Amino acid sequence: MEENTAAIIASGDLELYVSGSLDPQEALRIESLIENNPHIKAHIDLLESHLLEFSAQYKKTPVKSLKANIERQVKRIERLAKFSWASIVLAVVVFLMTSLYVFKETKRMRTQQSIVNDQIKELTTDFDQKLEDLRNQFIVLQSPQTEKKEHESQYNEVSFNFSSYLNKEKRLGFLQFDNLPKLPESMCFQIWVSRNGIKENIGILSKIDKQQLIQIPFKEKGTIHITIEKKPGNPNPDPKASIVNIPIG
Amino acid sequence: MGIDTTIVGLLKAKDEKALSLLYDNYSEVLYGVCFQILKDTSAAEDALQESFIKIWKNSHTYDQKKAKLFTWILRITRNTAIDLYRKTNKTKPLEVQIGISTVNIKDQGFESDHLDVQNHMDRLAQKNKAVLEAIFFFGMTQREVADYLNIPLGTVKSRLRIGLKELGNIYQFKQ
Repeated sequence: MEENTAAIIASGDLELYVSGSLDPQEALRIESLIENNPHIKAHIDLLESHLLEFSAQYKKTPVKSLKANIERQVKRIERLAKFSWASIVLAVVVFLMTSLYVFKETKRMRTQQSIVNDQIKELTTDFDQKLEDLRNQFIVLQSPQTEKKEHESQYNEVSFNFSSYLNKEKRLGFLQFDNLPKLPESMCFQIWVSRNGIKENIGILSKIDKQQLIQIPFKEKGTIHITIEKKPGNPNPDPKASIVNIPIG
Repeated sequence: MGIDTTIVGLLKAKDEKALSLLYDNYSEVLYGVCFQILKDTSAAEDALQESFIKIWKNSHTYDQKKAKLFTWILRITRNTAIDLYRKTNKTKPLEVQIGISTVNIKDQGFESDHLDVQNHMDRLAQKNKAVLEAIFFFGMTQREVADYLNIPLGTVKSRLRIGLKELGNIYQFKQ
């Protein structure tokens, strides 16, 4: 071991280690030797002392302002470091808040988009229905096969008139009211059709415009009835209470 | 508790007092080394300033088990000075000056024991000094020193051995 130690000391590697000139792998080897070989450790300690002594002979006083310059620069670095940390924290907070905002906005916009899509769909369906209704009105009113009948009925001693347009060929039918008796706020006119004992609700007449045509189902044989019911209508109206009865089919 | 231990404690705690103590205790030696490498006062001041900044920034990497504080700060300073030299003298190789120490003993205001040390240092043979400078300050291998000074490798080894022995004697004398 002594021979080995002497060879290591003679190699010059320890001087290079002390001066920091060895490559990292070689430096690790020397560090392991320092840990395990007390002679090497003692030699390194001695070399470090020599290095200090040797360097001290070159002592030279720098300009007085240098110390203040260094201290000022270090203060600036520290301020910048603190500022950098603050910037990083701020950036992270802004990023998180922005992400949260974008996430919430995306969610809100998706919900709105879904509502708008539903509305468009509803409008399209409504528009198609209205177009179909108009087309049917045109067919019925223009067709020579259409049978027009004038009706008169009474409610609370107030008479009211209406017309029915029935086209057996196209299986289409409409009602057109000239006027309707005034009802209390809580009551309404309910139109419905009975076929083989089955009652099918057509709808409620709340406010009728003159000339407005109300389509009635005319696919099969049955009777159209109008009864006066409590709002919002009766699911099981009584045909005996009907003030209008129009056979169809 | 030694001054180095105090400085290391303050450095690790990122206390700026560490810099002041470090400067007061080591700036003259480090500046002298910078000047020895760069041969220019302004460049040496730049190198010293940059070194202190590096020491401050890298204080968390210092390991007392691996090297004494002075050894560590000298490595940083020496490397900074060599880098600066290479930056400003791209084509010119480093020069190991085989000459007399530039220290002016009276100007430095050394105390009597330092004066004796200096006298002993001056006795250190210039040829041995050149080998020590090349190895300690310029980080040359023994082979590189042999090539640079145009002397056999065996001579480098013996000059290094004698130089270190002389330094040892001076050190013992100081103790």
